[in-house]
Amino acid sequence: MKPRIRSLISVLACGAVASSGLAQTEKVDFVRDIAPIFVTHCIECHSIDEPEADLRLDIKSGLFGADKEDWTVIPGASKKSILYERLILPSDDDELMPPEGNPMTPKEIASVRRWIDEGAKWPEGADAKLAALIPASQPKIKKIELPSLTAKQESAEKEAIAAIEKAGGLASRISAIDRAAEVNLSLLGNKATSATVELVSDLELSLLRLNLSGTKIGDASCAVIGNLSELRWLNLSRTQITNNGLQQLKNLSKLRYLNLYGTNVTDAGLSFLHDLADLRKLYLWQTKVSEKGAIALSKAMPNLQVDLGGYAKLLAKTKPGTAKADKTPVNTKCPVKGTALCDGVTTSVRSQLVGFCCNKCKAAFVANPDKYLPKLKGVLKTQ
Amino acid sequence: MDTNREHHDLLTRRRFFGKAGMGLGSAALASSVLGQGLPAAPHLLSGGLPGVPHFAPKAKRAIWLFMAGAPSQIDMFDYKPKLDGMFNKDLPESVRMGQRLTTMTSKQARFPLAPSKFDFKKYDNGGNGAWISELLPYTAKMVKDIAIVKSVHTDAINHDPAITVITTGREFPGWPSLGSWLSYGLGSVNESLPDFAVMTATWTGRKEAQALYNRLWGSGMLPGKHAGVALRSGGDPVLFLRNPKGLSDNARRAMLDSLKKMNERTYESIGDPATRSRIEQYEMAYRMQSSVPNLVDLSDEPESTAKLYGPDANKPGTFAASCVLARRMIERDVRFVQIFHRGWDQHFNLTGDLPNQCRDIDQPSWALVQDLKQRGLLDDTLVIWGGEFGRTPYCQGKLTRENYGRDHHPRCFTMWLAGGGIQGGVVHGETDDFSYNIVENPVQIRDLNATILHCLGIDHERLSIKHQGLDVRLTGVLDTKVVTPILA
Repeated sequence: MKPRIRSLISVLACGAVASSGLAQTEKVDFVRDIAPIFVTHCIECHSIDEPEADLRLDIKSGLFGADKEDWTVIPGASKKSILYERLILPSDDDELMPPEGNPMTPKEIASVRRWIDEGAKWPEGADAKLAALIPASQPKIKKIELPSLTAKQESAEKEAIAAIEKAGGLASRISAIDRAAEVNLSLLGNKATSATVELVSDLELSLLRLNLSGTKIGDASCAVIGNLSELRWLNLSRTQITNNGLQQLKNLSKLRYLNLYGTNVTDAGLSFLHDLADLRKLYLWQTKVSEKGAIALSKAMPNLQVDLGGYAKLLAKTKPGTAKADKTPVNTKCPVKGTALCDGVTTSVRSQLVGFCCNKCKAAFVANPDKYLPKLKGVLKTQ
Repeated sequence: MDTNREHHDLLTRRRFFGKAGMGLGSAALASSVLGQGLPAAPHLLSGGLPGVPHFAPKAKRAIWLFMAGAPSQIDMFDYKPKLDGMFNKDLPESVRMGQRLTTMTSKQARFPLAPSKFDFKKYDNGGNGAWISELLPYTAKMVKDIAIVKSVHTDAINHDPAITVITTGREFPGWPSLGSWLSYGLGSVNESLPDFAVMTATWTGRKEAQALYNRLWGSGMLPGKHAGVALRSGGDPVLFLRNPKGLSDNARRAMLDSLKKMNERTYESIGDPATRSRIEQYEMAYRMQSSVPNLVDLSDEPESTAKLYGPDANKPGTFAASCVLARRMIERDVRFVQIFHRGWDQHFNLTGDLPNQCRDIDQPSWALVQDLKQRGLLDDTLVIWGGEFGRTPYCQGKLTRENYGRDHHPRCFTMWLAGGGIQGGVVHGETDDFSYNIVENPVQIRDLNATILHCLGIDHERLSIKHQGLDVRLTGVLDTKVVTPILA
């Protein structure tokens, strides 16, 4: 595989350079040349909402994250950059990017290559400029890809939906664009039994959301739940579930949301969640999980947001009005007199905090900012 | 259910059953048409419109914390430091550009600028920061949770048309409200409570305020059952829920059954959908006899609730107590809850009165968002905060550094959204140095409504009802766009 890619890179790269629109002496500018390419071809899948391959191309930290091992762009080395590799695969290769829509033009590919080779500079403030390029009127709508059903499975689903409705639960398609289904038994309260939960097993290939909050179901139902291979969202709050139940959920590899608030799970139970690579939100308020246990889990699963709740306690610690504000001025010397700053004597310029040595200087500045602004040149970000 | 189709179906069925003979026919009618309603569309079983939601919703329910009277954006969110140096100077004509004023200030000889008396600080929201005034210390703590939109604008300049347009999409009365559209489109999850509940909270200080009208939560040309149900702020939230003395539950049920039979007969012969609404409302009221006492019984609340929502949480009818109730309704899958707080019309004595209103709502709004979060409900509950317009940067009445008043200002005002479908830590839109005109990313009320519908899985162009030869929509026919930069 590798050698083939390499040879292709050299062939294509030559062709691309020849047709590049940029003059060879002019450097590639990220905002002018690259951001529009990313917006046109990449960010539909590689942006905030469940980014493909966990790669975001709409913000700098998406491409250049904390862990350098994950970088798909190696500044200065397009040939070592996976992102570039994916642009120049043969047209029948499944990995070729973008997978849908118009392919990138040779000119665009050449620009990306040159941008990488020139150091892949993503300047400060470019995130916002990229965001401004995203067409506003087209909110992203995602269809869920689900395994197809046989006729038999389809009729089993219909029967399951009817049976759940008959038992007083709610079973419905999540939306009109795909088959994804949801079941809500929470309003049944005590009346939802393990037998009711069993009714959902025939929805295995379609069920994305399951709400059992406030029902009395317990670990016995977790075997059924653990088989719902398409499940993304599971609410088990205020149920009888314990660590033993959690153990049976570890194959729910697509799970993104798990609500365990008000259950008896403990720190020990959290270890069963380590394999749930897609899990993003976990709710543990009013459980036996300790702060220490939650922190350990956050460390083991850096993409997971763990919510321990108890915000009323937080309140006792921070009195109103003492919430931490960003009060550090951007300058170190008074723009009027050039002397040291006095604490707390500040004003805002272009949404940035500027400090003064005294109130008199502040008043002088506010009355005639244009006179003193040159003194802040280089200190104040031009935004 | 589409009322026209329903009527049409009824007529064809009657003709069919009329020919087929009465025996089987009437039995079938009773069970399928008049009983618990028509069998739902096969793909969606919660009683909404077929084909809705149009796509997977991020939010399953919503709460609108409505600040009626129009909060002063310039004293709360829209920080304008340059005004500091322009105290009592005239609003430049180049800024106002002859735009209309209300009759309350249009005769003023001058339009002197009134910089906010209140201190602002910039809070870390994980992005470029958010400026919040000292009046909202709790809101300041949650700038990472919320998307602040500083560039909302509306066409109306007086309360009545402005509050009507923001709640129903039209300036004149009689059109369906946002909540009724949601009920109509998405159907019920919890059939024992209304899909759309309204609370009118008490407020601190000055007692005169703009009136609210039940048309703000009305259903217009949608079936009546989609209208918001207003809960009372004092005493029993719903009157006459308890059976009268000496009337047993069985007797009550028997009476309702007889009444239902009579109503069904009327429906069968005349086919007016309003009759069906009536049948359904009687049944809803019966179910509410048990669901509402359970809803408002706070004995199962943890102690932390009162602490979280603040000192007003235990005083029935306050904004804080309404927020607790709203959260309890959201837990029970009520689609849409709207709380109206009416204290925001500060034409005079703004610096005396505004802090009271902010105190009423600040901690409870924060608490509501945190409470939804810790219960894992914020991911699929949309929270909206804001009123019908903003207030002027120039003073109405007497101006001092310490006190001033502000008139109505429809050209820019601030709202915030949080939760299902919304990206926290965002500040969207920008106004000029006077908080008078929008200079970046304007958001019309239509855009706001389209965005709310989008979060709930609805394409605003495709949720409509046929009325007087038109496909009527919440967002009307003018150019409307979803505010994508604030979406998660």
